[in-house]
Amino acid sequence: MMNVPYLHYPKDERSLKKAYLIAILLLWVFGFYKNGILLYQNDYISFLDLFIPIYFLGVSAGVSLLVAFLLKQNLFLYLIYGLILGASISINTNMILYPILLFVALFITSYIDQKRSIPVVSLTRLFLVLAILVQTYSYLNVSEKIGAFNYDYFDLFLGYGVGGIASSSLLFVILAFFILLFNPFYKRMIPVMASFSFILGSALLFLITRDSSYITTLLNGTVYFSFVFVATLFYNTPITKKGMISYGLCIGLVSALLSAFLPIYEVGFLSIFLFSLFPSIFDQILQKKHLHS
Amino acid sequence: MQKFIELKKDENILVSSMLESSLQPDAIYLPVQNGKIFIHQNDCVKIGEEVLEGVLSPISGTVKSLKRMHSLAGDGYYLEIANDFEERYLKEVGKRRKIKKEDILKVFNLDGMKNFVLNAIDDEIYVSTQNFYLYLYYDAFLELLDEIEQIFPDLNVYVCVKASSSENVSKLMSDLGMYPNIILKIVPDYYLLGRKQFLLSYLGLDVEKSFVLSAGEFYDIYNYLKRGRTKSDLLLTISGDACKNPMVIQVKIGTLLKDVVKEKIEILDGDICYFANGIMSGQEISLDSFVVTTDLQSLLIMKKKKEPKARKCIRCGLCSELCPFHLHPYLFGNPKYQHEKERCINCGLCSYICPVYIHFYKESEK
Ligand code: SF4
Ligand code: SF4
Repeated sequence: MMNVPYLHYPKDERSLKKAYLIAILLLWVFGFYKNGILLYQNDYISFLDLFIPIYFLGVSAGVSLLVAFLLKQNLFLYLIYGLILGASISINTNMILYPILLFVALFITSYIDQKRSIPVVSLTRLFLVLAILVQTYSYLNVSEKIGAFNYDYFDLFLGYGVGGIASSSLLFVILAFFILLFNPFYKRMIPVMASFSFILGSALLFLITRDSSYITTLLNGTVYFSFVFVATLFYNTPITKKGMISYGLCIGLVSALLSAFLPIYEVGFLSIFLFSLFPSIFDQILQKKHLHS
Repeated sequence: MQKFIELKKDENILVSSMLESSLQPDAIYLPVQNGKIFIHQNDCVKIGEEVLEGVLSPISGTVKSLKRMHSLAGDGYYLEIANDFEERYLKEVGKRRKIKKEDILKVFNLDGMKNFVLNAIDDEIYVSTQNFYLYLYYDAFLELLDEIEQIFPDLNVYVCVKASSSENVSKLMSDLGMYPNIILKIVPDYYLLGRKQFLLSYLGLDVEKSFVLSAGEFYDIYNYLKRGRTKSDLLLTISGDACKNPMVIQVKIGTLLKDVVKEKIEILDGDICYFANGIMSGQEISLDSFVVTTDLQSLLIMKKKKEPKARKCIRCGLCSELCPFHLHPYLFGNPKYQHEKERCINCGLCSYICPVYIHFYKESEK
C-alpha cells in the first residue's frame, strides 16, 4: 500500500478539529445570549457585564494558545481545549484568578501529558473546580441567584437552567452533536452510549428515591456537554468500537451514580477523567480473545 | 459485516477508449526463478515453445543471454530472447474449434460448483484493464459464457461489471436478452469488489460453490480453448496524473516497461514516480530494467508528492472498522500481533482512511 501521499480520504484530523470548533462556538453563542444579552435586556447587569461571557471566551482561547505555544503543542487542538474548558465553567468564576488558574492547570496537565498520556481537558477541569471551590462555588448567574425566572422543563431543555457559561443548553448540545456527526472520525458511539446509560441510571435513581431532581438533571445540558465534547476528545478513549461502547456506558452510569453525591455540573467530567486514565483496558478486555485467536 | 467504500479519485484522469498496442519489442525477458532452462544460447524459439520450466515464449526469435532484471516476480536473472518479428507459432493456431465439456473441465474445475462468475471489475483507481478485456473481446466472452451455460445447465452464470463502466453496462443490458441464462450484476464503484472473496460476499454467493475468473483470465482461456493459443501478450493500463494520454495498451509478456512508456506515453515535466498495480495495493517501482510479467495489470505515473507527516493516533478506530478483516493495523509494529499482520492483504484501506496519515506499511516495517 503506497497510497498515503497520493490517495487519501478527503477529510482528515483537521476537519474533525474544525467540526469541534464550529460546534463549540455554537454553544458559546447561546452562552453569550443567556449570560449576557438576556440579563442585560432584563436590566440585571450593566452594559459592560454583557461582555463577561466574551471575556471568558477570549481568555480561555488565549491562555490555551499560550500553553500550546510554550509546550510546542498543536495550537488548533489547544484552542478547542480552551473553548471547551471555558464553556463549562461558572459565570461567577473570578475573572482575575481564572486566567492564572487555567494557565497553571493546563500547563501542568499538558506537561504531564507529554510524558505520559493523560486526559488533559477533564483533569484541567477538575483542577479548576478544586481551585474555584476555595472561593464561592456557584453556577447561578444574577437572575438565577435571585430566582427571577421560573423555568419549566422545556425552558430547561432550551438551556435557561443553571449550568456552565456555554454548556447549559441541551438543545444546543444536541445541535452541536449533529454538527460533529457529519465527521466520520468523531467517536459518536461514546456520547450516545453515555447519554443512554446516564438517562437509565438517573431514571433508576428516581424510581428508588422518588427524588424529582434526578429528572430535572436529565434536562441539564452540562452532563451531555461533557459526553459530547470531552468524552470523545482525541487521545484518551478506547479505540475499538466495542471499547467505545462500553466506555460510554460506564461513563454515563457512573455520572448518574455520582450525581447522588456531587453537583450535576461536575459528574460528567469526573467520570470521564476516571475512565480516560486507562482507556486501553476497555479494548483489551473486550478484544483479548479476538486479538489472540 | 464488511463495510465497502468508494475511493475518492481525481475525476480528470480518464483512460482513452481506444486500445493501443506495443507488440514488437526488440527483445523480451523471462524470469528464470530456479526452474529448468530448456534451450541454449542462440537457439531459435517459436511462440508457445516451453523455454523455461512452465514458461512459454511469447515471441519467436533467438535466445541470447541471462541478464539481471526486475519485475513483480522479483529481482534476478532473466532469459533474453531477441525478437525476429516473424511471429512464428509452435502449433497451428487461429482456427476456431467447438468446445467440448472435457476441454472445459480440463481448464476449470467446475465440480460441485453452482455459480460461474466472470469478474470484469478493476479495483484500483485510474485502472481499466479488466473492463477493457470485456469491452474488446465482448463477443468472444458472450460466446464462451453461452457455451459454458449450455454444457452446464445447472450452473448460474454471472457477469459482474462496475456501474461506472458505462460502455460495457449498456452493451450488456441490450444484448443479454439473447442470453437469458447469463445474469448481469452491475455493482457500485466500491473498492475491493475486484477481489473474489469480497465480490462473492457482496453478491451473497457461497465461496465454496462459486468459480470466479477475472476477465483477463477468461480471455486467455477462451484463446486456449477456441484457438489453441497460449498467452503471449496482455493488456496494461498506463495512466496517472503525470500521464498526458492515459490508455490501455496491449504488450508482449517480457517487454521492458520503459520501452513501452517511451514509445506510447507522454509524461508531464517534473518529479514523477511509478506504481505497479495501483496506488492502493500496488508498489512503487523504478522503470529501469523493469519487465512486464503476467501479474502486471497497470502502471500509474504520478506527480511526486511529499508524504504528509504522520501525527499521533486520535483513536478513531476507523482503520480497524474499514479493514476487510477488522485487523488492528496500529498494533502491527508490536511483535505480539504478528499473527494479525500475516492476515493483512495490503489493501491500503487503513492508510487511506487514517485521519493522521499513518502509513501502516512503513510503520509496521520499523
Ligand atoms: S492493509 Fe491490511 S490492515 Fe490495512 S485495511 Fe487492508 S487488510 Fe486491513
Ligand atoms: S485510523 Fe489512524 S487515527 Fe484512527 S485509530 Fe486508526 S491509526 Fe488511529
